[in-house]
Amino acid sequence: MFNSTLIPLMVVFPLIAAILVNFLHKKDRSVKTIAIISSIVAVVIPILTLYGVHLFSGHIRTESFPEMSKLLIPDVYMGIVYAYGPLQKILLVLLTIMTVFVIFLSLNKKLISGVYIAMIFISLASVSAIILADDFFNFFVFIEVLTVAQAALVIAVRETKSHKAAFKYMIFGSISGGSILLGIALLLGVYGLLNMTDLSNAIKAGGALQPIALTAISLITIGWLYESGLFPFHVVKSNMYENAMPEVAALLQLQSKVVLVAMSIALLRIFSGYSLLKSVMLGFAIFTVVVGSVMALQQTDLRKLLSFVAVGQAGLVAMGIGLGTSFSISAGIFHAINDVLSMAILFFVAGFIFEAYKTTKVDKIGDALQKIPLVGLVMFLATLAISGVPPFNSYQSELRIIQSAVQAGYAELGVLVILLSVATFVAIIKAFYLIFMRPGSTAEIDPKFKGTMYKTIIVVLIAMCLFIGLFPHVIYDPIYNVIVALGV
Amino acid sequence: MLDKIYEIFHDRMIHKGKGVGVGSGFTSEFLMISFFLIAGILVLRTANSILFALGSILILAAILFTVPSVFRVEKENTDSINLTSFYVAISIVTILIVFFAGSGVLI
Amino acid sequence: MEPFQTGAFLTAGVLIVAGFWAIIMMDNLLKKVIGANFVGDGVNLVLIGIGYKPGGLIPEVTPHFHASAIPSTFSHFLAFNEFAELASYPLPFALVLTNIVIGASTLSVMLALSVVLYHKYQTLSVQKIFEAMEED
Repeated sequence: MFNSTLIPLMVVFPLIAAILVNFLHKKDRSVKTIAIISSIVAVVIPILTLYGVHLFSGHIRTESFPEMSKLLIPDVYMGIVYAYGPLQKILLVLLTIMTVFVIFLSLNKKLISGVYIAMIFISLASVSAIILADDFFNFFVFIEVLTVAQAALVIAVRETKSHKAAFKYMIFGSISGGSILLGIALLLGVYGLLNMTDLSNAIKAGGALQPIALTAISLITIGWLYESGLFPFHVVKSNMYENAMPEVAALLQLQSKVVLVAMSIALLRIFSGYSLLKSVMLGFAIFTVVVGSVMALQQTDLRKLLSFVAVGQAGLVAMGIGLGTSFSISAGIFHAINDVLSMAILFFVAGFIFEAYKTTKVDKIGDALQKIPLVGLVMFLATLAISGVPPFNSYQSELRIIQSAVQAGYAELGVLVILLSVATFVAIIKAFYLIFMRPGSTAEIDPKFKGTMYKTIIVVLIAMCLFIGLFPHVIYDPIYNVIVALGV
Repeated sequence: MLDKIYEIFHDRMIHKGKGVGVGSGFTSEFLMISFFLIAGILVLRTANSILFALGSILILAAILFTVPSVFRVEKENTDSINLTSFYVAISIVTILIVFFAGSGVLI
Repeated sequence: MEPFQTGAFLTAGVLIVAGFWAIIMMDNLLKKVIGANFVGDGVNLVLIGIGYKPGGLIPEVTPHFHASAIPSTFSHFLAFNEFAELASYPLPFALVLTNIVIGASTLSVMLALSVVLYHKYQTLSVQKIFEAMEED
């Protein structure tokens, strides 16, 4: 029963849930029930599904009649293909679990309606499709859907700042969407293919890249920079994180890091023989790392600070991928997973503080450790986790990134990674000190607010961080095997 | 020169939380300087070893003139849509030039 | 390349460059939105241009070919080889249809946001709207 035919369900099921809760708008009780049940089912589906390939409409791989179609390879996929393997499983389980947490935290908010939950489900469906799709156009479609859904989640805050952030996001999203589709169109024109596996084989068979294919790579790289929130677009992304509700910001940074991983792997697979692409990725990643952490150090608002830290960490993930060896790519992906977890804790803590104090300005809050000691302790542990202190998970991945940088012959980048973690630590511990330990608070805590759900979830997440830190091979080994098998 | 730098940081960062603000200002300045050094060394090391010796001294000299560079970074990374547009345009052109020149199509 | 294709690609190039120019350089919210739409239209035109073939059959509309057809029973159907020679490339049309739908939805969200921002600031100038962001 549980076989690979469940693969499309990972995309279809959240979409159905989204449509349902959308129709039940304003009927809060039924929206809540459906949201809880379907988010839990969404976690179960990727766990039960077996690895495999799903061919839509059953179109199998067929001959391409090279003399007639002028394709460079003898046989091609005739339909859309979804591939599900260990890497996809890890990413999807992480994605769905975090979505459950975010939905649980969102359900008690006032601004919550059916449409809001529907947007969370649509973004879940699109990220799942981006992870699974082996077809470039399908990939593009869901990237666009994801952009609209994320913008809608930010618009739902109903403040002018968030409207502006969403407008900026959409405008630059149209640049990136146009670039990606134009790149796909040019590749379709040159090679006549959309399937990533076939495209990769055809590009290998075609020899040196023509100028049109080079234009296509450049355009898709621009799209990649936007989707992962790297250098020129880091301000847009951090603005989105900052103006969303903090728990949704945790979801947004998770989604953009997962898209970063999925899209980098797609790019590296398609243009596997083209080393310049990796250098360009590495260059933009280094820039993002430095700018992100320097900007994080300047902020006085916890949400804005965390947004820039999230952007800088995305740069670190991209740096691992851009180094281009199997070791560094798997270290980068591993860091994406670790970082998503510890970043989510920090955003949830920000959400808790926002609910309790109605502000996240660090200079207004003080002395919080006596009032909310558990949250303070978890935030301190999460700060240690994200700066790569040994018992926690980010230590394992940052160590691997540094090792791979040295192995690849860029020892300087190892130094830069260490500096980044120091800067991240200073930035967050500054906020921690000001909020939790500095005497004299001007903002008052809301005595009615308990936040039991927040406390439970952050404790669960810090336990997950500790578990991955102690047993990294559970997550790391499958990733490494997949990357070696891909041969990128 | 160094005593002046402390004054500059103290003036600019005082509204960002007293001693902690100055500390984070120094940390970010340190990060920027190390980044310039590392990037310069990386480029020169992969290019030529004679250039490397001269270049790293030149970089050090150049960095000392840009101190403090943090506030400039902050100014360039505001939420303004125009600045972002400018950097997006620059990046698009850079990517096109790198890919075309690097593949030997342009040159 | 056919003359139509050359024309289509040139027009598309003009549209895309004009769209990017509008998004990056122009100071008006609506002009930016129109620019974003231009980019989408230009890309659609590129896709249509790729699939074009003078006098080609349109696979979506005319059932000229059936995979299991025997020419004697279905005399109006073509054999695969013949069909593949004559037909235009069907894939880009499907892509264009999808992209039009996506473009319409993003366009509507952007326009709605422009309306909201205009009501708040009583101006369409991006410079003025996003300057106000620095203060609050």
